[in-house]
Amino acid sequence: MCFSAATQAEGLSGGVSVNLGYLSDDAPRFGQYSGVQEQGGYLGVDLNLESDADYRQSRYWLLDAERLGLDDYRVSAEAGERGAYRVRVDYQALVNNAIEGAQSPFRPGNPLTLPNDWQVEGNNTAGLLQLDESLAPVDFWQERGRLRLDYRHDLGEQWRLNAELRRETKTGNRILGGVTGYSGGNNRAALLPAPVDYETHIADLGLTYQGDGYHWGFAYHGSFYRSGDTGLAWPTPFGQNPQWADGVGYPNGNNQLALEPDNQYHQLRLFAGMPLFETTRAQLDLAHGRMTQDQDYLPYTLNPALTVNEALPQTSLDGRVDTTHANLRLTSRPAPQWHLSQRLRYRDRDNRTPQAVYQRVRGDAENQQAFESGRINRPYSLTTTEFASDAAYRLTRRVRLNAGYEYQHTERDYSEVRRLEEHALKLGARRTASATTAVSAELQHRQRRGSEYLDTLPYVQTHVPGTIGEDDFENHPLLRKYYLADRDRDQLRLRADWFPTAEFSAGLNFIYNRDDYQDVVFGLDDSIMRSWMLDWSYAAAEGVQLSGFASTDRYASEQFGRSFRGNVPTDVDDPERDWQVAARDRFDTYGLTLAWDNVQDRLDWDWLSGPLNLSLEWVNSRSRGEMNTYAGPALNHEPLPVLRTHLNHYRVNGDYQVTDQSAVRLSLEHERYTSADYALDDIAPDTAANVLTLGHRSPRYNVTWVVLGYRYQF
Amino acid sequence: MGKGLRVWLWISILVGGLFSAAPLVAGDDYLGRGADGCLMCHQDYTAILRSPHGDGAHPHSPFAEGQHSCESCHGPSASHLGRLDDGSRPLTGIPFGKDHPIEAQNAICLTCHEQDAGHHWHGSLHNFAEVRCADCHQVHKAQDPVMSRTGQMGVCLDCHQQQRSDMHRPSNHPMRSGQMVCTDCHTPHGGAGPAELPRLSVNESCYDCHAEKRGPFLWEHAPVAEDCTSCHRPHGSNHRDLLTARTPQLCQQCHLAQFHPSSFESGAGLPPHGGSSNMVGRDCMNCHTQVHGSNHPSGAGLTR
Repeated sequence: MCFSAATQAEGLSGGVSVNLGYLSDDAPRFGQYSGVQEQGGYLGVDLNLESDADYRQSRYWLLDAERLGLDDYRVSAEAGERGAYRVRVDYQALVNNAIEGAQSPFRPGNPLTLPNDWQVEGNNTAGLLQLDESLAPVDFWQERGRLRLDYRHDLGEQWRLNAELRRETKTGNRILGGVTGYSGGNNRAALLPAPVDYETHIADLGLTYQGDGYHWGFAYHGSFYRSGDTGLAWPTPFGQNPQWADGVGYPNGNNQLALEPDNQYHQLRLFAGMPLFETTRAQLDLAHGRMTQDQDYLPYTLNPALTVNEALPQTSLDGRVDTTHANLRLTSRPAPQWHLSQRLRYRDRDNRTPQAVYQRVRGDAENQQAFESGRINRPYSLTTTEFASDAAYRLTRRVRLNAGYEYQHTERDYSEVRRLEEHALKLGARRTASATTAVSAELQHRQRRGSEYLDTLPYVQTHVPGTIGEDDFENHPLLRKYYLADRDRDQLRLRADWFPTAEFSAGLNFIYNRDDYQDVVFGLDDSIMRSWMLDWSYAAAEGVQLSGFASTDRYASEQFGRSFRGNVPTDVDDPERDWQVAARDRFDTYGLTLAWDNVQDRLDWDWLSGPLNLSLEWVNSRSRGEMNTYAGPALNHEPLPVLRTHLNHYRVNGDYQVTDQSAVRLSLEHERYTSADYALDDIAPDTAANVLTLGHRSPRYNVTWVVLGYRYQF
Repeated sequence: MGKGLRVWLWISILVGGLFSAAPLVAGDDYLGRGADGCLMCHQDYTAILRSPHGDGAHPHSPFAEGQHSCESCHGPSASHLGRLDDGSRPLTGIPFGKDHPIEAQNAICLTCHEQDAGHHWHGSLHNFAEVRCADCHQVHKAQDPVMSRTGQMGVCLDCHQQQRSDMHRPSNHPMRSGQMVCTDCHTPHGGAGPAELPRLSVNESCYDCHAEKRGPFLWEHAPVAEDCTSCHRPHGSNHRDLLTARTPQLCQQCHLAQFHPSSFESGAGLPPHGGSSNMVGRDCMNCHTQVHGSNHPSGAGLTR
């Protein structure tokens, strides 16, 4: 393969690269974001042009393109006048296609359809008589396209205008679960290929004044999201369940779920930074925003066989959330050895969405609920105030100490815990022990405590007043949700650096984090993370750089629960129905990189007329997840299989500069990925009685990707 | 190095040698010879002439008309050409390096880059940790690696090793393939939000690319509206969709209601023992598919 193109012009420079690649096998996950996923040959072109690479003109333009010809590519163009303005336009296409071997009886469209000869007998997957004959491959893919216009203009010495406009699209499909039924006892679900058609426009406009040591400005952020589909409809694939209302099972039943509604966000922001005193600076950020969403509701049900007597309380949500942020930061250097920082951060999410009683048609499978059984929406609001104070003191030229205190106060509504307070203390030290070693340590303790845990509060608030008895509850009364529970957190970070010679350096990192949830009977009890990281670098000779890293992470968590049935009142207090999960996640990764420039000099390869640069990269990573389960004697128990992934990747790359203007590249990349996931592997579409799955396995592949490239530079 | 450049350097060295008998005392005078006086010795830095800092056409460049080229940043350094009694050379006006005051080094960068980098710099995480501008930026190179999408990750991950480990996990944002880089989410010179995010909260930052999850929805999921990181690890996870833990157990850390939400999920729900709706496929999300919120009037359980 050989290709060259050049236009030599005054001041114009650039290059073009043509790359021919070959992928040895199909591997969607390998091409998850690279656009290279099917076996075969590929052609990709890189191009860059620069009007004034030598910086001789005040005006300039640039053009840059990567991977043209592949599904995943990027193009950008920039022009401007140095010191005055700059305008940049870029477009990036990003593909995501990581699911292999999915099959479904549903045919694309909205509504999705089933084959004409679909037959059922009974109301679970065993009764889907034409399933095997009806299964068709489903190609799950998503493509994200991002177009961005970025403009910056210096208006004189002090003012600067920034404007960034972005249009982001996402198209393709994804997996969504579609359920028919109104309780755990009669729910029947199917995994559906749902359309993705998103479009978001974002505008960021800002004007800043830069004075002598101070600045201020204001900005506008607008985000406008639009969905091409308001909902997804599908026919019930299962036969009639005796608990369902008539006309819900195949062939008459229809279902619909709502896809993400169109929404908008507008935010105005004022910011400033200034010296307060000789040694103190202040930074202020004030912002007020509004999220709105007012898309017309879908009907309670799409199924005309179900009785709906009461209309919707309103035709759309008229949803509105006001956001307010206020950040103040004071930074002070009262003496050269002191560094002080105080930060106040205020965040308010004020949800002003109106509330109403919604008389649901649950799961498109029953007639409309009575008013007393309706549900009230809960517009969550949240206010957080955070204060942090940090101080660092340089004890000697080699020793630096730091300490800090943080306080966070959170108020919520429609929540089991209305108020949370968290205090944190931090201590740290860094010491350059000698000319060749440095160590640092940081210790942090956080304590979070909440107001009384009102376990039934959200449950009561979503029901019509007076319809919930004093003893009624939804979650087990002894459950404590992890993001609301009282918690002690301890964190330790250690770092050691060693650079015995100018050629060699190494570093060792250790991080320990423990979350200990207080007074938890059920829920997450504690979680521990330990992480070790080693990195090193060695300049073996001039132009020869060897580096590597290794890390190992261990996560351990304990969680408790009690399995209770609503129709057996004694279950709630029965310890023989207790269960425990001890999760152990482990992740190990190792990497090695060799960069060797001018190989020909060291090997005396006189027959090479130009420099030859080689590089080698190897990464090996493994994850292992164990879910060790324990249960009381009243529960049936079998161990869970181990979850695994293993990635082994290496790449060898050679660049040979044939002449001053042309170069060739040969790259060989090999990647092997295996995984084991009990939720996917050996699960046929009809393995679960009540869920029609897609029958795809966890990803695995073993591919080689070879690229031969030619670059011409001018 | 091109032949022309080599000749130019030799001439500079010879001319510079004539002036090397300059006063040996530590003075604050500018050398006044543009870059030539410096590059005759510091030949490794000639690439700066092809970099934005060597851009003579930019009115704010240290190499612009009326500026002091290298000494614009390194300070008046005429005495640096001479030698002290012990044979060493006096320091430049503003000495750079790990053993010299960091504040002064960064301050000289901020004199020009206050507009680009300085607004949130003071008190930022990097500022408080005494990171030098030069720790990340290689201003003498024609192309500063951290300013390009291909070179940036290597610079950031040199220190942020936990993130390097995370991005190799089986569930990740496309960082390993280079489609996303650190500055797509973070502002290393200090940001308005936590963790130096450019937006004022975690969620507002995530909505930049995931605006469909912003709502507000009719039926909200409280932790979702509050903080995406309640359930997701943005740099990478062992579990699908960047989740912090395996489902259904993650869901059961907050949902322990009668019947299926509290049921004990073990290998008994998998073949050959069984096929539990809560364990295969997408487990809880086989039915509760709209976990980020639902706008369906019948979707209170996030199934619609």
